[in-house]
Amino acid sequence: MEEKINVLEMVADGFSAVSEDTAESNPIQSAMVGALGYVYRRATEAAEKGDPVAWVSFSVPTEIFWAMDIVPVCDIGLTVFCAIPGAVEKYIDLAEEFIPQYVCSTNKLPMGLLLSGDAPLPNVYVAQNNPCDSILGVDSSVAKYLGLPYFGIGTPYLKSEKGYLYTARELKRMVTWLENHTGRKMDFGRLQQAMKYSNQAHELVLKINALAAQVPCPFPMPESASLYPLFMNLPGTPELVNCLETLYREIQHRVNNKVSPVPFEYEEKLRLVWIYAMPGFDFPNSLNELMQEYGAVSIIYMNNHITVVPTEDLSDYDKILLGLARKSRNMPMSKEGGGPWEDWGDNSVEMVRYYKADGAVFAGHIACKSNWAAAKLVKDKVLEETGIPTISIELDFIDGRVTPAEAIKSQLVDFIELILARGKQ
Amino acid sequence: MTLEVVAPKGGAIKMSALDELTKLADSLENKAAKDWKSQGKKVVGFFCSYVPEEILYAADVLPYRVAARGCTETTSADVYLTHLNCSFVRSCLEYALEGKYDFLDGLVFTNSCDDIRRMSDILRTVQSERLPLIAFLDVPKKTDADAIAWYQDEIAAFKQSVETTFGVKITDNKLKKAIEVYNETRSLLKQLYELRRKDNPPITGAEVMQVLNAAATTPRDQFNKLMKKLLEELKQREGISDHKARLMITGGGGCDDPAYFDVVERLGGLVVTDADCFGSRYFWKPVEVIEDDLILGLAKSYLDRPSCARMTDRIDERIDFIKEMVETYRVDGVIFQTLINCQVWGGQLLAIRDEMKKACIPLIELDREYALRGTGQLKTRVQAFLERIER
Repeated sequence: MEEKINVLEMVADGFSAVSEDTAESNPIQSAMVGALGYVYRRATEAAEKGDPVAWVSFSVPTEIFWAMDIVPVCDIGLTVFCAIPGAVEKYIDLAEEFIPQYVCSTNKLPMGLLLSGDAPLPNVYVAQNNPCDSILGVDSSVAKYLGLPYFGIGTPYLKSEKGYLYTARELKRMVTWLENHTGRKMDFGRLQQAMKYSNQAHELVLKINALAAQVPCPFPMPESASLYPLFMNLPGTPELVNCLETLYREIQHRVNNKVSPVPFEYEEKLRLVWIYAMPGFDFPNSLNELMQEYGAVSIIYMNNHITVVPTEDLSDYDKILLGLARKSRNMPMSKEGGGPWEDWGDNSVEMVRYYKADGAVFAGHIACKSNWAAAKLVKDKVLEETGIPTISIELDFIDGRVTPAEAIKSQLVDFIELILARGKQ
Repeated sequence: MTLEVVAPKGGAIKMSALDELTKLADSLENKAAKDWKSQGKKVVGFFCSYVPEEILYAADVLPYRVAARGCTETTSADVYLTHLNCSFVRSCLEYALEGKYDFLDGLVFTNSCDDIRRMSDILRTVQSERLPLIAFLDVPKKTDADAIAWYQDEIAAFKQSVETTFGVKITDNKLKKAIEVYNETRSLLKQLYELRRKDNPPITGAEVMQVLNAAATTPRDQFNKLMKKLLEELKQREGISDHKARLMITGGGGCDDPAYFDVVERLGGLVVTDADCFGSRYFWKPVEVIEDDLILGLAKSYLDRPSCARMTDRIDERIDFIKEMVETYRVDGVIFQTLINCQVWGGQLLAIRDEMKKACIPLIELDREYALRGTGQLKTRVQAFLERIER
């Protein structure tokens, strides 16, 4: 008989071990991996003790869950597993036995994980209709299939104060629903505390990204890639604040002391911003090779360019929910992929300018149909307003079988050589 | 002029109303739309059945449901879209960029799905100067009181936008009349579907699709007259008795091509009902007339229709509606067809298949592209399905 496994626990153990091993040698990696592991550790412990765990789609405000002592596991956040070779394909393949192949792999992964029994079932499932149809189509279906209580947060498409108020009311209804389905109660004092942590985290990420914008870049990809997953699971916790404080301190140390962010020699000749996704699978080596061989530094990708305005007024429950509603619609992916396209165009132009890029990369996840439908508009805008060219690369964000790392690297090399040959703008 | 309608194994009979409706459905800018335009009146296209057409009709504007049947190439559209996008949207964009919708005086978009909202982005960016009206209805994804209030405001804003653009006043009387006309269409279409409950229905699924396509693009007063005539004619028509199985179409992306139904029916399956965006879901429930707040009635009724998978709080209702249709129409098997890349319906398949299995309802899943080509695989799979479920 096959032994039952708990992938969340295995990942938590693995991340903890890496965090401990690198505490001295690489405090940044240690802090990020440690914080990510914390989520899965908490989820595992909660499941063992019978405490409530909620699986949530990204852009669902986790602050509310931490405040209610419900552990939120962002389903798409599980894509961090793809950093472990061979860890995701099994679950994607399993999901494809039930739903079409063209459905997003980042939804198929958590679905396959739950169907396989390799992760404990959550107590509830909460999804937000933003930014994409895939979440909408898959999450309610998985919940129905598994008999899990499901709450869908309805978010208006167009961004407006009226829309944020609507979403805030949805969040309020979600809290009541969570209370009914988990037995946990909202504690306003805890919510205020969670919001303080959340605000601190958002202030810190702005400061970290300001450092990343410096020339030479002290915090490039692939190292910085884990920043966004932290924001899928941990806003509202002191663990995220502690992690980001470590990052800020260490990056500032690099700047002050002119310490290279990588353990090899390179000269920064070219700066790339990834105005959409980046490969989450075995791509770090390729990025490092591009840095070493061409001096091409990938500064940041879209999901790390987090510019959410903190919620200032924490004195009132409704105002907090309004702040969270605004935040959920303006987090990366929701802001750009959730549309309208102008937000993405503006964001891309801002990224190119802020990070002083010489080239932009539109690494398009094949399942993000709506994002591909905006690609030309976005790229044209970037070119018109900044003169910076963009390369499009078709890939699956987590499944390296679709476009292997070598193929992606090869396209990037052509693009880099082109920019270098024509001279930087 | 009449059309020779050949039932799967029946004799040829004269059906003048069906002939006329088929002709209306066959061309992009049909005679009815041309006649309408020739009177100096406006035609406005829309892409989703959540758009309350009554607002346009009350403004003496012809609501025209945009489709792109017959589109086989998407060269222009693919400058903006890719093979990763839904082929319905690519086809519609192609026609828009080729100028085939130039007879339209406006377009109404919704956030129905990711691809349609992006088509709105593209056309708003590249064709805004050509179209007097480009409207966007932010349709809620839920159906509770707050969602209804939201949609009520959206419809009110849409009404105002139509009034301003075309310089008309949509009075309560006009709106009520439009709702009544549209409700009559709904009632007539339900009567048509009622005939399909018979052991030997007098009409094929392909023919019904033609009727529905005519409904989507023809002034309703005119359509309703033809429908009444059709219902009379169908009383005289011999029922279809040589089918192997009674089938139902459901799934995503809207299945509006009669040729698709025809392929299935030539193999011996008879499509007797559907839970489809271009079919029953479009007209199943009448709009509630709330005398002192007609727009509230529209908002409530449009959100309360048998739902698209885009609605996040209605998966149970969606599954129940399919089951109800199966029972009412004594369906032997369900064809769950989805446009490739329609993730919202693709994702639902897990739960829908499971629920059908529990209810012992045979189901076949068929992916398709909007343009019907290469029907070999479709035929093989349907044939095998029919053999499995044949009565």
